[in-house]
Amino acid sequence: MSGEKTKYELSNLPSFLSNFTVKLNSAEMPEKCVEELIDASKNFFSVEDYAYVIKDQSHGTIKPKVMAMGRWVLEKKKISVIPVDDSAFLFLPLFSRRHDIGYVVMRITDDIGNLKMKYMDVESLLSFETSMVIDNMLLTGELIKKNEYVSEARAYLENVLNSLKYAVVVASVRKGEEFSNKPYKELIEKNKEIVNYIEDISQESLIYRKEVSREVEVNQSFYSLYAVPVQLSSGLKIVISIQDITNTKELERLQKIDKMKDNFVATISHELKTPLAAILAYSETLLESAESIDTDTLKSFAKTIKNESEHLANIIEEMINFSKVSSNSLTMAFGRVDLVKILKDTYDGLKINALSNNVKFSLEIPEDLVNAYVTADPKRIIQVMDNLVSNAFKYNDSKTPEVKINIRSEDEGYIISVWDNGSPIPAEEREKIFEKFYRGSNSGNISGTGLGLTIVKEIIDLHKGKIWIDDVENCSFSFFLPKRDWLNILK
Amino acid sequence: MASTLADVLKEIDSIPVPNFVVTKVIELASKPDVSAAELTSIIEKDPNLTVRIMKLANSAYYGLPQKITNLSHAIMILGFKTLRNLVIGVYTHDAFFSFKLETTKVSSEDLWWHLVSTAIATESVSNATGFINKEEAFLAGMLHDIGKVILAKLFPKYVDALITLASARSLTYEQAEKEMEFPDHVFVAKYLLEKWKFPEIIRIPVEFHHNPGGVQDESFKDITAIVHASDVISSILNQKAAGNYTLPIMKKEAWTYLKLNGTTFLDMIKSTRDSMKKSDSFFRI
Repeated sequence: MSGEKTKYELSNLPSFLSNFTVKLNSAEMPEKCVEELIDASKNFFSVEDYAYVIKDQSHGTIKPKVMAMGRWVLEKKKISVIPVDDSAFLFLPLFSRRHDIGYVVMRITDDIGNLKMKYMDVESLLSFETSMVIDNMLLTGELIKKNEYVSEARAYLENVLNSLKYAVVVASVRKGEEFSNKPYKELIEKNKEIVNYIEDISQESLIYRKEVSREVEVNQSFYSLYAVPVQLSSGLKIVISIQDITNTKELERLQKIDKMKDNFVATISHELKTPLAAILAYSETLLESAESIDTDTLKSFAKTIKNESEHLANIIEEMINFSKVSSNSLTMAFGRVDLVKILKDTYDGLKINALSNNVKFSLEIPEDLVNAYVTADPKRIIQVMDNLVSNAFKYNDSKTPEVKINIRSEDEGYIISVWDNGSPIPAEEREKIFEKFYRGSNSGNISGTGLGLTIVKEIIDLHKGKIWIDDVENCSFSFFLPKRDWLNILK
Repeated sequence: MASTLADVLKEIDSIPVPNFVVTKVIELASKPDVSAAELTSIIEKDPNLTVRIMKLANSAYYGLPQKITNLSHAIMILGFKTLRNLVIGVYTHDAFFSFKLETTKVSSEDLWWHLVSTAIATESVSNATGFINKEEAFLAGMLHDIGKVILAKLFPKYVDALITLASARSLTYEQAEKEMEFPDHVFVAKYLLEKWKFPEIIRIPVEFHHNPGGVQDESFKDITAIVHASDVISSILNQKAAGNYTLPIMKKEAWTYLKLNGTTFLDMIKSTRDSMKKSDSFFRI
């Protein structure tokens, strides 16, 4: 047994400890710290061999008997020299105020009877200092692991969010947009204007602290927006998800048109059948009993047949026009024409009709308006007027029906209105009324194809004009035609 | 009944100093250069002491996985200071607690229980606060109220009167002491430990165990705070053993110095109670 090894004398303990501290602090992992501790111990003990346990991980082989002693040392938190079999073992517990770390065991060849208390005291200090450093390392390791876990979870969530079909954006009260997924970035690139709608809905959700959902139309695309306030530890957030529902909307529209077409077929066959039945009935009567009928009756029969044929021709004309509108092949013969003259002609042509319908019918032209030149196809404008006026006759629900046409001059063009004293068209129908096959809620059993106003609108559009329904107590349609000779300017 | 300080001191001086072995152990345990062999040879001079120490070393309290067969092994395994503590423990018990007191309000068993449980509590508090000089705290805990037993032995009527007062007015022993014009138990202990040449690291915590904020020397503040906390824990576990009739409260300075909180404090109480289940051999030393 070599007690001969020159023991470090503790005359210069502070510098020894500072030296040891420097070494400990430059160690990068717990194992290295323990190696430093063992190296330092060699100044006081003759170390033959060593092993250690950190966090239940053994480094070096340890017999079960020695391990039992190690556990005891750690439990009692006591430095100890224990004779096991023929050797002596120096046990150093590693622990902190927070938890137990492990222990170091060194086989020493010193004469244990001569072991001095001061060496044990120094060892106790060294192992305590080592424990502190290891504890900090383990704590840092735990923090790093937690951090990794957090960023992994974040990446996972981001992947999930990016794979969604929805665009998702998270806004916070202070910082504005905080997170957005890929679909959102793509959406913004495609359609910048939607940002305003997103800001609106997020503000609303924020103010009322509740879920808000709505559909918006931006540049012919439809979006469904949904905003939810979420209270997180970092503050109140608004999560907004945006879905492109244009396809759904388009489908809905097509389904509606399909239904309207069905209605149209039913209506139109009825429309065609009525005059046809009359023509058939009168012509059959004529054929069977032409000899026995007096001239007046005959004339009246022929007149009826003529009227009904004209009606039929009108319906067919309307259908042809409509199919032209549908295929964008409505032909126009534009020229500079006087609206005053056209209105007068229209008025004269419809006067008899008004009389037979018992309608008080008038045309109002300002005295100073001698003529009103516009670029137009006169036949088409007459068609528009015919349509609007006969609608005014047909759908007027007043007991003393009255229809008025007037024209007024504005800076840019002329506004022609067809007014009647019937009930107004409900606000919600004003847009739809110009759509194909649409028939107003007041149409009841009044005959009509539902195409008239669609064609009227198309004609006005082709004249660079505008048509609308006036917001008045009664029913009034107005359209605007520009004064300038746009045809020649374009040339 | 003696009434002057000089009379009291005269009475205390009549208490015999510890025997040669104990005095020598106290002395050696303060010398860094002491070896296991030296300490062994001193203790072995008293065969009765040796046997009782070996019994304690192998007791459930230390719970060693293997039996210790000789004194030098006991010194190596349990440490120099622990052995010193056992020697002083056996001596203190024999000298002050092995006979019946004349007091009717408190018994020597009660007081011994309080001392041992305080000593055991210091281990829990030391572990929880990361204090490494556990053995010193253990001994200071075991001696902190030695003044009470001496007063009870020398002036039993006075101590009975004092405890009656504490009981009548729901005071701690120490609060009741302040109402009496008589040297208190801290003064007696301090006087005795100085006389017996205990090192400062034992004397200071005993002297300031009711007033941890009064310690000036930074190096003794932690051990004093630990002994103070342990005294309170022991009183919580058995209030009347220390002659208290209300729960003593930990001083704020000690509480903040040890950076305690409710949870750590409760854990200390629990772990002390658990250790005491294994410490029968100490109570019947």
